[in-house]
Amino acid sequence: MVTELTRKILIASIFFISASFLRTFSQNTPGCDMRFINHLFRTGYLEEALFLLDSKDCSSFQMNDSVNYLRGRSYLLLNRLESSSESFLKVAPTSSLYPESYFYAAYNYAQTDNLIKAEGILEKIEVEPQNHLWLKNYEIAGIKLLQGDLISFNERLDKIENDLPETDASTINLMNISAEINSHKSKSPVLAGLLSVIIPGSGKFYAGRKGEAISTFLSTAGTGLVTWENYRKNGLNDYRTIAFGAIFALSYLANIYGSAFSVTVLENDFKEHVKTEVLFNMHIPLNSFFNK
Amino acid sequence: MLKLRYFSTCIFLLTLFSINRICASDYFSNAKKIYSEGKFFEASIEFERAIYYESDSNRIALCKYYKSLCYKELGEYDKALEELRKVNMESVPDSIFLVFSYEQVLCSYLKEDLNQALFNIDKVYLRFKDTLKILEFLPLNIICLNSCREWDNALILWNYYIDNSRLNDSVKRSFKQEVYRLYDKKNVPRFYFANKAENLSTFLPGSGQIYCGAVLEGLFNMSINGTLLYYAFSQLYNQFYCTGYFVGLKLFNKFYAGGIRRAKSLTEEKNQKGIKAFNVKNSNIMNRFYIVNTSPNR
Repeated sequence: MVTELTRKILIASIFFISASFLRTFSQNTPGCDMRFINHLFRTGYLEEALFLLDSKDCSSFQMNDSVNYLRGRSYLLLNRLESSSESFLKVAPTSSLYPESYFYAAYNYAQTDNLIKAEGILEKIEVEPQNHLWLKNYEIAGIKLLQGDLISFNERLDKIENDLPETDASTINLMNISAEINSHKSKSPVLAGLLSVIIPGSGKFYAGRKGEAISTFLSTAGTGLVTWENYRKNGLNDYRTIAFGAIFALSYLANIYGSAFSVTVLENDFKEHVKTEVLFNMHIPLNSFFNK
Repeated sequence: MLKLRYFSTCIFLLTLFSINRICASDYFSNAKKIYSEGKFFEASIEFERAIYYESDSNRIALCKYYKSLCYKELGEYDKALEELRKVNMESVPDSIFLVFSYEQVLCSYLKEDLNQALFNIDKVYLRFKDTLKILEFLPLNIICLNSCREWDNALILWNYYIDNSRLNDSVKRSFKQEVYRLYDKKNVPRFYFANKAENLSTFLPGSGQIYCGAVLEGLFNMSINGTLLYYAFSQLYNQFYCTGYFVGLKLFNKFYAGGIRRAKSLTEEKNQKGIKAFNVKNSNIMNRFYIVNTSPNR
């Protein structure tokens, strides 16, 4: 006959023995502590979270979707976009994290100017809900805009059917950028160079750098005047005339090159401005869809 | 039967709680072991793990302290200060408050945030008025005051520091003499005024650099400016107006303006170097003082 006291002692012993086993087990196999890694991620210890995700403990979890997703997010926040995309693309299509991971992977490639790869990923994404289809078309439209292919951009935009006000605003923004690209008149580096041949500094004026144009004109004209003065008073073969003449010629030629370069920089600035705006507007719906 | 169910529930909860407590302490010991191996980044993660699983506020504070030590070793003083800031200092015991405050002062000083370092020292003095507990803070306070060029206050603290040591009077007297010599007006680093250097270079190019002690650099600057000015006027005199203006005067203008800017930056450079050298001398005396003070044969 087992008394109540014996039963109690037996229950307590079972609990404590199993607890000590559990403890020993947990000490010997630390494992991939996803709860703690999530905590590190949420509190902004991204390097630390990545360190644990890349450690031996998580190596058996390599195929685990949440590990790859978390790694992708951490790399994204640390602005290591290539690594972020690689991690996102390891998420399996069966996972619930798949759409978000692939959309972000494509977005990362778009940020790193790998537009073909970004488009390829987006085309491959299998989307079920209508919102994801909208997002897919919208993101591809953004990439088309980055490629400067306005016809394809408009085609993609026509496919979008959506009633959400927040996404409507982003679409309007993309359309405005498209209009801006349409109305942008490209400047020619050759014309800038030619203008500078005629009047030093005028090429920079054409490029919109007025202050720099005036300063270039004054310095080139100054060295020209010095050369002329030395030529007039010392003759052509005098070393001073030759030296100042060389400086003038150098300054003149450098100004022609500088003017052409200024126009190239101006065009690149415009492209960069368009890229920033498009990427920003591509990011807004991504955020509102997946971070709700 | 009902009693037995209650008993089982209690035992189950108690076991869960004890597992959690034991695990948290394991994490802390593991983190300390990694810290002692010099793997500070890894240790900082483990201390964070211990914080995450720990429920006792005093132990959490201790983990945060160690975590800040890891960051200090990694040279990330901002992060170290951030960890220390997370602890509610008003609720911790005096001993912990002192240790935490010391780290705060040290990290602020290493971050070159002297105002914050002095503010933290003042907080300690406010809490421990007229006690010997503040002695440990004096060397850092002296170094901070030196960096702020508050020689008189630093000297007062030096005296207090020596007076409250366990040394005999003759040794104390010899240290005091040494400190007084160090803080003599002739020995404290001279302060170079940026405005003065700029004004000097404005009136006579190169003289600002000479004022800062860079004699060769000053003479070089002076001779370049002189040569260019001579060239400009000789060209103008010989009716080479364009050459005189565009070559001579324009180049002179560039060197002249550059010389003024250089004189200003040189004062800042010299002032910082002077303070650093002075603090090294201070540290040497402090080290010797500490060794003598803690040796058994004092």
